[in-house]
Amino acid sequence: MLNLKVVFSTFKLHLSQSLSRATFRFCIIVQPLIYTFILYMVYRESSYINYVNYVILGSGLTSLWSSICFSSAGDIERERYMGTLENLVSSPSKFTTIVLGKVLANTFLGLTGMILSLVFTKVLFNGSLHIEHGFLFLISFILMIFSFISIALLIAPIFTLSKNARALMNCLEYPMFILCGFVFPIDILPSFIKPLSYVLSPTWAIDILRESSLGIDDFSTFYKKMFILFFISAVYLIASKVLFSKVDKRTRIEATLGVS
Amino acid sequence: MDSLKRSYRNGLYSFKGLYGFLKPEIYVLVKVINPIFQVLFFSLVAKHAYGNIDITPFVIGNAFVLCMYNAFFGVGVNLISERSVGTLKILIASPANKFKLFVSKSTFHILDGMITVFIGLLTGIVFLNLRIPLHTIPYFLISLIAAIFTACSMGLFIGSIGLVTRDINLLLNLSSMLLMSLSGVNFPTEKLPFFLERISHILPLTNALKASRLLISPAIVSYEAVGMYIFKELVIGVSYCIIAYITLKIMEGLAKNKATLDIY
Repeated sequence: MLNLKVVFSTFKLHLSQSLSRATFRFCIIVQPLIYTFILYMVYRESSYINYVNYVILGSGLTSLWSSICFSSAGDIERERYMGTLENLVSSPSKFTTIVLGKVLANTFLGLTGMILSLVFTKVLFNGSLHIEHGFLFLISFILMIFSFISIALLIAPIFTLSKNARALMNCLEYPMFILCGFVFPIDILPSFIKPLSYVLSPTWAIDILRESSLGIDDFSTFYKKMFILFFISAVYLIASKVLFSKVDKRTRIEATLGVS
Repeated sequence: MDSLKRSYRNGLYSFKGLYGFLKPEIYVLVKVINPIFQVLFFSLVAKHAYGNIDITPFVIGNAFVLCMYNAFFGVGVNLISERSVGTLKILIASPANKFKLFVSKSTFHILDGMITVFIGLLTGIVFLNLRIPLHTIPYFLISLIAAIFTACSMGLFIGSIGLVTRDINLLLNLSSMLLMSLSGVNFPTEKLPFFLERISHILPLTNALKASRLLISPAIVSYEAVGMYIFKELVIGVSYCIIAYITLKIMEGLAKNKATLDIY
């Protein structure tokens, strides 16, 4: 059973800890603004009518991914560095619950990047996010958050075991931006790469977000995509549960959790 | 000769010290795989935005900007690394010329930065149909060296500010992002608002990128214009070097007076 009190207190603590770090503030405040600026300058010369959607969703989601990615790797690495990872893993509260609190806090902070991008584009360039189907966009947005949380929970146990989490986390950014089509549709990728994109939940999340905002051509395909996203995210959650129990077992046997 | 050898040794040990803790596969991930994907990402953004137009200038820009990792996060963090391993105060108290010391520490980062840029260019050649005319390669190399020198000089300047601040990483991240958005990497600097366009003239890479783009353009190359851009880039590099030297002296004094040398 999920202990909400632990989730909430970890969430609160993690918010204040993250905000006290200048690099994280950079990730959630400065990076989305600069990405918004670069993408706007590139896309404004394009032939797309609602190009602002690519700018806002692209920069918002890239900063959300950075925040999620850094939450899964950076925070575990930091706990290891501070010598508190062993305490967290062996505490009476489940390690998964604690990680969930951290992931939720980072997701919450990561979403501010999208809001900032929205405000920045409006104030500086007088550009607005065009939303064709408001209700479906909202549902897609909630599903997108769910999918990002599930993928973060899947990455976290892998990074818990890896001693090179920081390097791995830095290398996960651009491949994911490309494979999931954060800023451009995956149609422009070579066909042999696409199967890899299809097994990544953010690909579907971004697709339905973009489609619900720009206009849906085929509603039945759109609902199918929503279902696929939900299904893949659920699979990630189950896989993360299995991985977390493996982490628990392995760290007790090998006793190398705190070894950096 | 002896001082040259010492300088070489210092640069090599410093470089090994920074990357030595990494396994070779992690080095490959960070210095090979990541640059490849960065170049691909921004080039694909341009491809999607502009359709069928030639995206070569974007590929070149994004390959050149890869050197900023060495310039900022290699050269720029030298001082901070000394601080975190507890040797900064010994270094500052020593009679050695600190500026010369940090310049020598940059040598291998310049070489490593060049390798990273070559990887970026190779990515362009293999995946994005980038073609560099053979006869322009010497000029192309000179513009690349000028770009890396200027970027490293700026890294040295930012790194010296690290003596009085805790958040040098923030400063380095911010500078690298500004370089990416204002030096004409992903769009021509002429498209920038007037005051930002002015700023771009004093940033590393701007002029080197203009020179390299001239070299690969299908029009007849004006070597005079290329030379002028490279000269401007070098002047900016030397200026940053001088500013870095003065800043290091000032920051050293401030850090001693305020006792902030060891502030983490």
